[in-house]
Amino acid sequence: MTTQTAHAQQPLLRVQDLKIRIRLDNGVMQAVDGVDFEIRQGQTLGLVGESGCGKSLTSRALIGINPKECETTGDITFMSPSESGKPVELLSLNPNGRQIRAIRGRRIAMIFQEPMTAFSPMYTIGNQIMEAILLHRTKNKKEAKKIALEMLSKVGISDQEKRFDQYPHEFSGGMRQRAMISMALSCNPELLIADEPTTALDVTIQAQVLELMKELQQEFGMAILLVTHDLGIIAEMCDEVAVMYLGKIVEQAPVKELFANPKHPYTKGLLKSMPRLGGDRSRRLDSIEGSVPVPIDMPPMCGFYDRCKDRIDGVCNRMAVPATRIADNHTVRCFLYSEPGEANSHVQAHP
Amino acid sequence: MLQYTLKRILLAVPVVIFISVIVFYIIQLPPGDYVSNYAAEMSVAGEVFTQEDMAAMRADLGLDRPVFEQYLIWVRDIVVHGDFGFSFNYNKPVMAVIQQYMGLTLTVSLVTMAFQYLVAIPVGIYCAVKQYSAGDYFFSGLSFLGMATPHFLLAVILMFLSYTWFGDPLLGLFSAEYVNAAWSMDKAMDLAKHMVIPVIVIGLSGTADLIRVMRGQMLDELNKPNVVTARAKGLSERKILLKYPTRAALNPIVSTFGWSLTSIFTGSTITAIVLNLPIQGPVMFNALLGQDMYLAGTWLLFMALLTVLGTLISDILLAWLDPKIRTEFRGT
Repeated sequence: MTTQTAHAQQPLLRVQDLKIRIRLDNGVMQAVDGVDFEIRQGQTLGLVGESGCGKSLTSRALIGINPKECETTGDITFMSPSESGKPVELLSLNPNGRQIRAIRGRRIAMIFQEPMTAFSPMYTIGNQIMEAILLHRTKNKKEAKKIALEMLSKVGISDQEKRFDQYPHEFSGGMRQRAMISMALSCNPELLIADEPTTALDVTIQAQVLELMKELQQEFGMAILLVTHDLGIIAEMCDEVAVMYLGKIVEQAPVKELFANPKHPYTKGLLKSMPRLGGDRSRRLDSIEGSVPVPIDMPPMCGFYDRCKDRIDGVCNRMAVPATRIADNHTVRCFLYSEPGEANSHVQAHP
Repeated sequence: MLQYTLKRILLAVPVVIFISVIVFYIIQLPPGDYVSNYAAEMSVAGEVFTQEDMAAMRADLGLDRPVFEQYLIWVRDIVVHGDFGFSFNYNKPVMAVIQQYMGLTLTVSLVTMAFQYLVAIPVGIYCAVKQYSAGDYFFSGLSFLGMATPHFLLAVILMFLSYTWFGDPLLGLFSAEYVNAAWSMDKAMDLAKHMVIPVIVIGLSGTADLIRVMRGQMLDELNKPNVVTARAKGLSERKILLKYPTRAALNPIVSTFGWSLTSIFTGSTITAIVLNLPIQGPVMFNALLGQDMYLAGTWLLFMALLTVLGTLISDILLAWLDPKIRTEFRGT
């Protein structure tokens, strides 16, 4: 994990009680249901979970680029060290306004899963990289081009002058993701949101891209929010992990702690389903039985109840599960580790 | 690119020759010829037209020769003299007839096209951005109506409205006093006034069609990840809209531009007859009806040539618009 200096421990972004509701024809889907986390400067937080658990929505909500059907509430506080230390409440800003746009791409940049479709096929790579630079750093085209070329060489793209004028379809998948990273980092952001940055890539290219992200993190000192479903990537990249299930963070801990001492039955299941070097090859990998329910009109209960091996009937399916702090940095949302009594009284308030 | 264009033009030559044969064959298909039609008209008018008269007239017009010989003479004259034959109806060379109507045909067609694109593209963008809004429903309803309404019916309705409101059905392209007058400011104004109805009538279904296409394209493009990327960079919504989805959505619209070439030069037929417009459509129609074979043949050939040319223009436009195809050309 990255070595952290004292200043790197300063909080950069704090998310409190983030909820995202999406109105559908057959009801309101509670896609994200009360997420809390904090990212410190220079740190990497991994957000892991299966498809549809709300991890991508959560990450996009941070810079307000979810579709307008998403009703978002909660607090997202951004404490940029460069903005005279004044915290900004991101959710209170107009999502198309000047203020949030000055943060997007400049202070908080994002890279996406599909580097093919994330670039427009109509414009050159250079044009699309320069766009952010011209918007946030300089109005001078020559200077912007110089910065863009520098960034391209930083991400390991050779022959930049030629590459600069090429179109996305002339790049390979790995190259495109490198170009994407150079575009995101061209304005020295303080936080990089990486939404499944390597999912669409070959395994060998994956490793290269992750290595590159780590190197650049060291160089620029930015924090990373890494959204993925791949625990291998989490283990390699992150300082801290938040496991998401059905719109809630079910367990959060430093990466070593989580892998050594998983508490939530879902986390345990995930870890068991990972292949291990030197493991018994004739054994089938464990899988988590059942499938994820759709969070429409869910009664207060644990979302994992139907699939859980350790469920407590009459408790887990009767009330919402509070988050319990079981160690200094380790919280888990499960009745196995908390007194149902506390939550009981809480639930009775809403019969 | 140049090589490709040349190759395509060369390929067009056999296509056009083949079409010319078919065209000539089709014109000969209906029973009778210009002379028998003429004789029938004459006898209706009470004149006596004997077999000998008909034979003399056929010999005079060259219609007594075998069909393939007529074809070869026609083609020889086109290639050698640029002479497309003689229009029996108008008693003039075919080219003179076409030239006579070309100016106004082009005017009406180009204004109609400009109207279509200028209306359809902004409306299509609006409908996509404000999908399912009251405005979207309004324009969508209007465009369905526009696609479903027969031209001639709309033409009659508009003429009727114009007559009841302004006391003038605005028939034709000029008021009586300007038809044979020299060009002047007043005549141009009169033309502009008379063009309102034809442009709406001829352009409506095309506009309706384009609105649907543009709206569909925009909806596709608005949901593309590159729009999210642009948003994440901090660009303003207006800039994103114009630079990414609109630019991409224009491709299929502009690339079909070449196919409109035929309609630009021929103008519309039925609407033109209903509205009594002096453009090519009705001329063509009468030529076919009266078996005015060289005029009709030249027309069909001309349309075929325009279609071939239009397709080529479409392909070149697409290559020019789409970087992916463009690099393929650069590569070869």
